[in-house]
Amino acid sequence: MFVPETSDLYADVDGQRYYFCSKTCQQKYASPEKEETGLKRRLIVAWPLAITVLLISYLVSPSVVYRDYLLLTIALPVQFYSGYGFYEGAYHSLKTRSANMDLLVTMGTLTAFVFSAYVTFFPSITIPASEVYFDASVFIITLILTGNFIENITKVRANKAASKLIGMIPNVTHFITSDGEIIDKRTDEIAPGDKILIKPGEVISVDGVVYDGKSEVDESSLTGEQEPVLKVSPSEVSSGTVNLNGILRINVTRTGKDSTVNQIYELIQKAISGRVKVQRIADVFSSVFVPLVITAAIAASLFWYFYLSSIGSALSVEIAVLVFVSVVVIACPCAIGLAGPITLLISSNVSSENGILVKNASALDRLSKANRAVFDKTGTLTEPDPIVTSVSIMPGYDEADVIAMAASVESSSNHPIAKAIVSFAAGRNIPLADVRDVEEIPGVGIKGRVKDVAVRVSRAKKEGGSSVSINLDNILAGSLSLSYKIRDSALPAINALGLLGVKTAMITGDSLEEGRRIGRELGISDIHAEVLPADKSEIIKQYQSAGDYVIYTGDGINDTVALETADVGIAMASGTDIARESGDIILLNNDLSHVVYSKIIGDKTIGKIKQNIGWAFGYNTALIPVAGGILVPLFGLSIYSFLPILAAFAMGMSSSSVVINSLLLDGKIRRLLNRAAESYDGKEAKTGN
Amino acid sequence: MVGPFLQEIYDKSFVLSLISVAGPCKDESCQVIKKLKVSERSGDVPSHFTEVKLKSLSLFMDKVIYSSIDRGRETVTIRFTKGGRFFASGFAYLPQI
Repeated sequence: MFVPETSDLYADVDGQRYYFCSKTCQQKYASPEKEETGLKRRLIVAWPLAITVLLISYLVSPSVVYRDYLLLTIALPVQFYSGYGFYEGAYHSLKTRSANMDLLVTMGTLTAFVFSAYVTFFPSITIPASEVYFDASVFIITLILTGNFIENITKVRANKAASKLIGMIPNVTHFITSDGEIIDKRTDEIAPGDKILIKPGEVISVDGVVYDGKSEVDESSLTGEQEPVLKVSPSEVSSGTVNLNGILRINVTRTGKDSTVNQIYELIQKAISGRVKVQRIADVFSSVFVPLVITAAIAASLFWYFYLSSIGSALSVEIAVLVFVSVVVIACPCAIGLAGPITLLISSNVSSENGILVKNASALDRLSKANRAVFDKTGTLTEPDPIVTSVSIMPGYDEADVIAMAASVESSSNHPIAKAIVSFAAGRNIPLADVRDVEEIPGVGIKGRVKDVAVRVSRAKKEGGSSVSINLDNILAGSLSLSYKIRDSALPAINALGLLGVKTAMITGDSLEEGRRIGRELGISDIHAEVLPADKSEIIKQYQSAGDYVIYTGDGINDTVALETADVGIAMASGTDIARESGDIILLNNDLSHVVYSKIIGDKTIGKIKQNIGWAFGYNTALIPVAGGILVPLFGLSIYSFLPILAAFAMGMSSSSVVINSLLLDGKIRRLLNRAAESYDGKEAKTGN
Repeated sequence: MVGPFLQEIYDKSFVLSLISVAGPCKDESCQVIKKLKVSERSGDVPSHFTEVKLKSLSLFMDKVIYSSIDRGRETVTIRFTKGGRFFASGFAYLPQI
């Protein structure tokens, strides 16, 4: 069911043009609630009347006077009110000279109805008198509408994570005026630069930076992480997270479409428009499917007409009509078109609930083939910032005083070592003092005067981190050692990847000794050390040339080239502005186990899409010959007394079966992720890959 | 021995560009599918196009197409018919990240 670009049924959403094969589809897209209400109304009319037609057809003898006229009258509302959407869709299909499902349904149901109406008004035309098939015509419409309805409600369920995210955002936000007064404003009236207040228990409605207050915030709706996160000035907070136990005053940075929740929502919605390679087969098949089905229906119908006429059967016309109806109705191209998108939607929902954002659905193909995971060291395998690991103070000096002096001077610097020392002092409740005459010398250190003491802090790299010497009035008073802590999730992730058959490697700009030290602790033997940032992508290309499919995990802002070079780029989010992050996949909670989860999700999603496409193909391939009469030698021509209705049931259920099968992916992935999480118990590093 | 038809296409340049077609429906919208179109080069190509030399043919394509083929590890087949038409298959568009 390809729709040519000449179709006037389209919608432009976020710069992407979507075409619709029928008015039904367009209306469903534009206002799904209205479409659902209309569908319910048509079903309420269709079912009672269809059952009545069925009962009269089978319980009342054809010889009863006016029986057929009664059937015709009862069938009319079903045929032309409940079935109206199909006729409208078929009209648009013919107008654009394409072929869609509505055309097949219209051909099937109208053929049965018109034939039956003809027999009703001109019973003596066929000898012996033919049966009427109003039951087939109304049940085709009723069952297919029911299938659409089931498909709608299961799809709503598939999209629950995304809907839940958007539904969380409160309509009203506490706005702080310039006088400090608190008034309630509609959330969509809040703008960047405003100040807002979030009370305990409330959902944070916009993105921002805390400027006052302290609280724990539950970020599980975004990151999947259950442990609350402490937020104080100047922590960033995201929309859709829950303020637990303190009052926060926030400077708003992003609202509306730019906010984190909306960015995630849009990524999930865009997932269904991603394409994976295996769908190419489905696309090609779909483009020729409907014309093929109509040709097959005509061919089968003509075969039975001429064959039965040649053996003198009086049922040749009747059977020919029923064969045609059965073949056009039983074929369902819809399931093939749905196989990929619905699976991607479900997969995207499950991954977003775990803080894994798939920006690029086509990466799932490559993820399922990935056999090499390359990690950046600093900020990926290790925490991004160093921490003070040891303190050494010269005799005659007070430890707290020396640290206070150093931290006071370093508080004027943005250097990671400076931040680590300031943080260390804060952790020990050591107050900072006023500083003057501060001068930072890049590559060397920083100096200043604290309480008339000349303080000089010299920074130097050493194996495994950095060392800092603190001079007071040009005399060495103490030294600090700093190193980068390996993330707690690193070792379990490396082990789990090994169990999945994925070899690991590490890239670092640090020395070979430092690289080997980290590698030994994590069980990674492929170490690339002293690598310039520009050379990271070359290393990845070497692995690719050797036949590996490479996952690269690194910083989403600073590792753009490496992330783009790898087959799958996984970015550790360094902020809440997801749109700025490079990478096919973004990890929102910096947990390396989610690299493993991503691999699992990729494997299972591609597997499910292939399964769905195979099912949709097999379904059609098996049933079309059945409708064409392949079982007649076994069961006789009497199967055509119920085959049209069975065909309608099969068509109605085909899309629903794909949706339901896809929903099973949700449970399967969750079970696998739970099992993976349980197996993370800090096993000893395994040697080699 | 190379036949006359193949001799005609040697030492020629072709331009690969993307066209959009609407895909299968019944998922509430027809997804846009980007396909590859091959045409013979006439005149200058945009300066940002990359040239890929294949024995005695040249292909010009923009970064998006090159990246999709390279990153997706695609084997793109271009068929030339005697009627002078060109068809490309095996291409899957990868959105830029």
